[in-house]
Amino acid sequence: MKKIIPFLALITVFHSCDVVVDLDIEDHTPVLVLNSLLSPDSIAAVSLSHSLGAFEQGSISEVKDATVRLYENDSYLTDAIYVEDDFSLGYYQFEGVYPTSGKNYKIEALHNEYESVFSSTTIPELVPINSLTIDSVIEYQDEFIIDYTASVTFSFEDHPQQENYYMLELIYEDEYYSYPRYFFSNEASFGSSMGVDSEYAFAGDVAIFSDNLFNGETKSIEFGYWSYIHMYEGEEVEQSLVKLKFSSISKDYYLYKKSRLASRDSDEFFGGEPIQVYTNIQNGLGVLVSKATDEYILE
Amino acid sequence: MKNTLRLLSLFLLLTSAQLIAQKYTISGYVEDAATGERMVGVNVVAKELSLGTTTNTFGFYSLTLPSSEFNLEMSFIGYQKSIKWVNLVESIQVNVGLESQVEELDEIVLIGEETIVKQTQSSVIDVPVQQIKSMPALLGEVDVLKAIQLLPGVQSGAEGTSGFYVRGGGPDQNLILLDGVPVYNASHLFGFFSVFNADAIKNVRLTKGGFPARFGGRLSSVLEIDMKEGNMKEYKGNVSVGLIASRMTVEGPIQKDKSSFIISARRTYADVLAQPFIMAAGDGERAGYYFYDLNTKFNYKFSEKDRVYWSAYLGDDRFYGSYNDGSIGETDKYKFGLGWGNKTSSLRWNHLFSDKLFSNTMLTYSKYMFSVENTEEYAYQNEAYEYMFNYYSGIEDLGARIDFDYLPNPNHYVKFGVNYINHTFFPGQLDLSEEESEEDYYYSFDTSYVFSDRIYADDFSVYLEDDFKVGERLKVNIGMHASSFKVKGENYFSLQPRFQARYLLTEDWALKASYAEMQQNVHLLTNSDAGLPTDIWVPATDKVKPQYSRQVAGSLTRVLKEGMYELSIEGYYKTMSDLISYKEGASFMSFQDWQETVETGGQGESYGLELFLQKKRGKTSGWIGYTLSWTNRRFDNINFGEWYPYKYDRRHDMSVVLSHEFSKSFDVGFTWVYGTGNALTFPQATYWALNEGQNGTSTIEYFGKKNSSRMNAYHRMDLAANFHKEKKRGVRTLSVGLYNAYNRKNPYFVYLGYEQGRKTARQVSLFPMIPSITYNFKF
Repeated sequence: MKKIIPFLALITVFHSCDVVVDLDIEDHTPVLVLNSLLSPDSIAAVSLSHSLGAFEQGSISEVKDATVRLYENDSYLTDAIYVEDDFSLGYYQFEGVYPTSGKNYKIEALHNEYESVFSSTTIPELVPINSLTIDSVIEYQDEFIIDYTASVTFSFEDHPQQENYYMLELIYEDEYYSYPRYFFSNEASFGSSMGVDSEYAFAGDVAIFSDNLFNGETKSIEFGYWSYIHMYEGEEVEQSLVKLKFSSISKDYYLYKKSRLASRDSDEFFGGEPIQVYTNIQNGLGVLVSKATDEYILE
Repeated sequence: MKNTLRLLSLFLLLTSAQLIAQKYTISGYVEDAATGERMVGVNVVAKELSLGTTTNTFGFYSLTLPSSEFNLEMSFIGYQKSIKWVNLVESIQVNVGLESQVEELDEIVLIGEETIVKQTQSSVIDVPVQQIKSMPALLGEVDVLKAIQLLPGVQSGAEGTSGFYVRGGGPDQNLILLDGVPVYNASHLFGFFSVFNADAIKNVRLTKGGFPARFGGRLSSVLEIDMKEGNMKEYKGNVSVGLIASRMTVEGPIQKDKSSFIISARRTYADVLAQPFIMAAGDGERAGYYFYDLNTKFNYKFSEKDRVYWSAYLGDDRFYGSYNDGSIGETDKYKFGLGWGNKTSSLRWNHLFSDKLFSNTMLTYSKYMFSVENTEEYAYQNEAYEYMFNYYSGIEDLGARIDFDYLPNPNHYVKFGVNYINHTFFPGQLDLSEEESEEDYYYSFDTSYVFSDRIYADDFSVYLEDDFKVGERLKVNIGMHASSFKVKGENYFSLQPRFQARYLLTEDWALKASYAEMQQNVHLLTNSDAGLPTDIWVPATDKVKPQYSRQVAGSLTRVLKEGMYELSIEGYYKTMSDLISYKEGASFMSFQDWQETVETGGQGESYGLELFLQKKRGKTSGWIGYTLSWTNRRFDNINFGEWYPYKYDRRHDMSVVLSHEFSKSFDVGFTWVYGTGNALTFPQATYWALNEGQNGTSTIEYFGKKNSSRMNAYHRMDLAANFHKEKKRGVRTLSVGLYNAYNRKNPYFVYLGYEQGRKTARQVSLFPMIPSITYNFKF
């Protein structure tokens, strides 16, 4: 407490009043919030809810009774069915529809209390991993644990005639859990998130990047990560694996992820300004985005 | 390049044509007869020939005229006219001392150079120091920059702070020159006061556009602040005691009419007054804040042709706290310090090569430093803990320049010169160390984060301009500013054309137009409103280009009632390119190289209309200013690449500044300001985020477009009354002020808060109605 005495003294001198005010902000009329991430390897689905004005009381809730339509390359395909789901509220599924790469999908949601909302996305082509090598170095070992650092190099072909966007994730999975794993890299496309004296420019659990620096080339990416294996009497205790997920993502997804991560990391305490998260839903909020993912089990 | 050659040819042709005729030159200096201070902007006219000029910054004039007899008239508002009969049969030097106009001493006397109708230059305002001193001031502390904020086209930043924004430009785009030396951080007390002590200042001039070629290095404005030279005739002084600071100024001759000095110092004393209470309340605690500044200037006349000036400024802010309260056998110490300050100095040599060619050679030094340090120490029995945090950044300049004024004939006023600055930037370093030990445990950490290595840059520029008459009504100023900035193997070269024209519609009406391109080789990393010391100066580098602007302006000016009132209506349009900004969400507390934390290639546009009505003479003086303006920014990676309003996009901005002298012993000051609320990004709604596999839902705040909301409007009225009394040894002035007289709760910042369980917009205001009293004694 004593550490902030000088600051408090200053604030006390100048902080003369704190009052409730009316700001020149347009009243927010609640709108439909449509969120959907389409991928060729999962059934097309959306989540529907509504927004809540900044000064409104109450809470956000799911919207269950909407009509949700799917169009493929501008042709009507099907309506979605609302599905009760404990983990994904306002969940509607387009039964049996697996989106196809290269096709454009438009989703429209209609509800009698809200203005209709819509958006569209074109499913990106899968960009496969051409080659992948792993080198591991054991950092520490005893009878219970093996700590190691892995260095991964993989390559892929970037399409020369278009802007492409990518996402790289590392997922740790065991019998019970699945969660993102940190990795580190000096890949220029990832940008820099670390201090200038750090060995690596980037560290994080997801890298979002564009092909600006390697358009049309065979691109090789290097990254490293740290992991461990629990041992008992010379045997591995847990059946776990580390999975590399490499996705070709739509531009909308790229913009959404970039702004979402920046918003999460915004340093407002030291004057960083709030960041608007990207939305592409007409008349509403949320995003309709897409990806095509190649996976590789690293261990 | 072709256009440049054409301009030079035209200039040489016009100049040489005048040189062919048999003419002589009358030249000299004009000074205040009572103090010996050189006078700037005095009208010097050969009456019968209807030809004239004005004195330059060092009081020098030169007129080359046909051999003839005429009355040489010198005039300046508030001074008696000087008329000398001259028979010009050879080149002569005439130095003149102007006497104060006794019958007008009761009036508030403002600056008195040629009227705005006669000047070629537009977008320039002289702010009389005397007017600044009579204006109401926050806590009674007279502030030059806060007076500047009251001019049309100039916006203030956050409430109570001294930062200023000119025609939509950023705070880094103002070149603040103290006796010709750039001042990088002009703020005391986190921006609430400026570093300029009004007692030591002679002239204040703001140029907002139509920049003559001699200026360069900033996009939006040049604020020239000239220090007094010191009284050449007798010793004078001034003592002032205010609520937060006291000032003292002493000036006088070292050798009468040959050399003089002025020393002016100011210091706050809240820390001194509060220290006993803090120590009494705590156990070994100390905390406080102070700032001080010191201005000094010496000058020496070697001859009528040579004079040397040395001036220096030294100022620091210091904020500190500590405690030491370990019990027996225990050490528990804490120390915190935050400091920043400027040091500037200039050595100037005025030399008259001939009666037509005046030169000023300068060596300059400027340094700005900011540091914050924090140490903790704890020890008890086997436990020990030590922690050290030290951050610092700054900029240091060494410069040399030479400027020439060449006056070949009354129709031409040529200026040219060369300027070189060697910059050293040290954008920031953070030293961290920690050591912790217990009986069977030891941990230590010691590292430095260097946000950027020192960067050295060579900033070189040359310029040429000519202010010349084309017939009786048209006057034109054409010039070229060439700049080369060498940094990290890059050389940013630019040719920046400048043009101004004035056309006299009648003796009282004039139309003016100007065009100026400016390049700025330094950037300021800031996301504060207040000119905080955490703002970091960085150069253009191989990764970050210099900023560039183009500005066009046009105005209609008029003098009324024989020069008592001046009116101008001015429109402008300015574009800016290669601006930088912190990346969304980033701040100075980043551990990355600063070049990784900024967005580059930003664009800006600003346009508006300014109205300025100024009364310069009489018992009532002051001005009314109004600005209608728009200013926007665009960066590829901010606001999804769409244009957005700049934070200080202020649709309406108005100020009324009045002083009235009731009698020789009593005058009053009045200020009223109004400004549209600052733009801000504020939450408008919340909604659920895309579920990417995680359990449950997370929410997102919807802000709308960047800066799409507005704070409430800002308005405030300040009052001041000054009581003067002749004393045996001088004049005593008691100033009583009331800041924010109707106790308006103006916004400092707003946030989303809760009021009785409901979400509400909350506003923090800083300054309620604040009375002040200042005692001043002039001897």
